[in-house]
Amino acid sequence: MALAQFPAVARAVEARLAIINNTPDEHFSEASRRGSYPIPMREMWACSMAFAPMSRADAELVAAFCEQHDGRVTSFKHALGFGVFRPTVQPGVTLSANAARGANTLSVNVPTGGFPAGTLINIGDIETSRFQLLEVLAAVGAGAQTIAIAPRLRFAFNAGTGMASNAVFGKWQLARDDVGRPVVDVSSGAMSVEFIEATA
Amino acid sequence: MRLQAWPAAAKITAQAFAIEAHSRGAVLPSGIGGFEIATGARFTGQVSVAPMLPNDAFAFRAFLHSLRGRGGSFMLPIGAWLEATRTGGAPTTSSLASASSAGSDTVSIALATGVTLNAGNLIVVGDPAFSGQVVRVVSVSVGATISATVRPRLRVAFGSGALVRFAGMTARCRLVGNPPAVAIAAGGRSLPLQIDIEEDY
Repeated sequence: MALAQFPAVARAVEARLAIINNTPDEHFSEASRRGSYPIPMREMWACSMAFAPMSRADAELVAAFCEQHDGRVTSFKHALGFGVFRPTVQPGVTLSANAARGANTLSVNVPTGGFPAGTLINIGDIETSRFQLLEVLAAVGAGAQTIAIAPRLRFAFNAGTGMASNAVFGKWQLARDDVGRPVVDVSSGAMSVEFIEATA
Repeated sequence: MRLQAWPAAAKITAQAFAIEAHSRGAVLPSGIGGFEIATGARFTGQVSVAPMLPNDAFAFRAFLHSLRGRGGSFMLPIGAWLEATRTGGAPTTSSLASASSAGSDTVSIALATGVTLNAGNLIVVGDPAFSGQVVRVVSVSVGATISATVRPRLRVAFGSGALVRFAGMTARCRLVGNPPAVAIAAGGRSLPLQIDIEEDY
């Protein structure tokens, strides 16, 4: 069954995207020189979104959607639009060299206009587990570039794999099991919801 | 990534530093668990960042993520109010007038005319990107060559002539934990942000 999309009636007015469970690139400190870290599979996105006030009916629709997903059990997708989630960029890039599992850089041909730092891109098929939301960590210009990314790749991807940088989605689960529905303000219908990245 | 420059678009509105894990640099009377001289104490603090335009905020979010939690480090600009008092275009740096050993809590500095070092000021001894260290002056003698008592104690020895910076300083810091989320709101700005940091050494 295709991944359900978070109801469009919920319009995000504030987003707090962050990567949690980070794994360092290098040794923990120069003083301790304690061992390097294994390839991380744990770096993942977390997000708190605040939505604009909506009608009571729409708010109940959103609440029903959340309840349908049984807390952290099932996944859904949410479009990450320009403005509160990411800067505006040109669409579409492809991987120009194979990328290994655990990689924190990608070789791509960056489109005209380049990628500003904070650009979000998707790699892989969102309907499968081989999918990730990635952030470009440092600005790059157009052309053949090696871009620094986070989180690290959980899977290897072959050269030629398409990556979306225009219509970008997050693949999420609700962050809490014990909240059957987001808190709805009776007077406005505004709500905020905590998401955590779905990695399967 | 390590030794990242602090993004210019992230304007610091406030910063507060405190020293945690003070050490007397001596073995306890019981003889149990003595620390090596001055290896425990470090600065920790909070940095408040002003709201930014969205693209600056996205870039700042990427900067925080590039640190990958506690593994990365960045060079944090130190607020001007923590600098020595300078008049008449006085220099921003000086040098140690004599060598200081690891574990020492005093430094001797040859100050140029127009520079006054006060208790409460921060100074940087050595190169902060490597083994240099930020210390707070807790008391200071008067004169051209001053003797300043500092905290935390020096972690490494510095030779006579080592660079001492007392204005335009940076400290090598890292995040205390996961990067904080940068809140970006519709309407074209991010929300103010506070970051917990600690000295990276």
